[in-house]
Amino acid sequence: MFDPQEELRFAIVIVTLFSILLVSIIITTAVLYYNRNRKYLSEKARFTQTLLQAKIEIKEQTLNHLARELHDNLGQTASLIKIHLNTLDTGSPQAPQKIEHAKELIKQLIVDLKALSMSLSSHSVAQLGIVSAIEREVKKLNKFEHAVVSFHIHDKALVLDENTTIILYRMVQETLHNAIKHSQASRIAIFLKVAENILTLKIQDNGVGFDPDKIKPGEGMGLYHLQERVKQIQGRSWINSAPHAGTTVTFELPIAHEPPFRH
Amino acid sequence: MILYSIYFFLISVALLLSIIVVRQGNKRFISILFLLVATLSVEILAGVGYWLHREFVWAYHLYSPIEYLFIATFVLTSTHNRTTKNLIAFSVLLYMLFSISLSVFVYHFLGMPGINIGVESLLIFSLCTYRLFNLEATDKPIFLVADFWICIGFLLFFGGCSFFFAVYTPLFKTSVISALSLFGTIAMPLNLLLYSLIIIGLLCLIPKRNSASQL
Repeated sequence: MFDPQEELRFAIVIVTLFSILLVSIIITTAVLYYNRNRKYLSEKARFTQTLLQAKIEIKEQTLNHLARELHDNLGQTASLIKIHLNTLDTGSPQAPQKIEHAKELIKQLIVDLKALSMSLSSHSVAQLGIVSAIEREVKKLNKFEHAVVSFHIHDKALVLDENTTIILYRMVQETLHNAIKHSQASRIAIFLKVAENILTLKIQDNGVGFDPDKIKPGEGMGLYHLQERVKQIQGRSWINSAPHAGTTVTFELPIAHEPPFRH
Repeated sequence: MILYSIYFFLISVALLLSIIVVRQGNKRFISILFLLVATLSVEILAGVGYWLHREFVWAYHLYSPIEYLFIATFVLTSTHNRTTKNLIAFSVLLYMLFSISLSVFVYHFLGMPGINIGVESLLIFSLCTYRLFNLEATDKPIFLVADFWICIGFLLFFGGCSFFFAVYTPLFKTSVISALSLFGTIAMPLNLLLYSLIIIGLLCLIPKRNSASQL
């Protein structure tokens, strides 16, 4: 038979051992959670910063587009109308033709203004959706005839969360503009597909290409920032290029059911 | 009697909260809901059996593998590592076979399934420690994380139980009164603590109304 004192001692030892074990587990849990939480919050802050940057860049891009449209297109049409009306002599036999031409130009001006207004009213890329936003960008670039840009997508109904849409759109814009500015490409193709929760975006051009290993310090900052941005949203990127062999930029982003960070 | 009433009240409150939490879309907590339903059913059965002087211990033999199934499912659904998931699923299968075999061939469904509960407690203690060490980071401080409270509850209860059942059988052989008194001293407070902590955990999942929405 256990004597009561022995029983009490036994119980005290057991309770003490168990308490020590439990306290150790709770402390370890708290420390692990605290460290993980700190890392999570700093990543979240960086993500927010990236998102903000992308939003500012999109806004700048929109304003540049607006300025270019006003200057190159609408401004020119308005000047032409002014010239026609200034040189209009109501008695001249060419007057009806000039008036007709001015009318046509005004009609064109109205169409262009409507198109511009539409493109600005949908400046919220997120509202437009990634597919339509890229299609719009492709259409705009094709209009300038710098290169023939094509867009290939597996799933036209692709819907991404707002933040991924904004960042992805900004990456497409940056890569396309890099290709037009530096590669002298005549053809650019964009491929977008989603398989097993991984979004793959590939932008391929037939331009002059470059040797990625021979980029001088300070050069290629746009590409560097792009790659950094992809890393921040838990994605990966590759650049395949060689002199006179074109360039292919590939991005891979995880698009789980939940976005990387919930807001 | 008062302690038993509090015990039933706590299980009922926890069950009610788990229904609310699952209805709000936290599907992962459905295993906690089923666990609470099973617990309440077994305790009612045991209460009625005790009152009518009928044998009710067999219910605990059936309850033990079911309880492990639901707690393991709760941990499994929060785990992302495939190997760990497979290990947990395998442990459920293994424990169920072990527990049922022991109940059939050793206990014959008579007497408290001490060994079953002892092994189950050690397994759940390990699972909950794993879950606690792998809590995902969120915006919330740790004391507002439901899994933290629920796992601490299981740790306290099953940790206490595994220590208790380690000494229960030898103690029972030497002194039945001491064993029963130890059971009463340890098991009931641990039970009350477990369901109180489950309630706290479930409350963490119920969104608080902010002042703006009250206006």
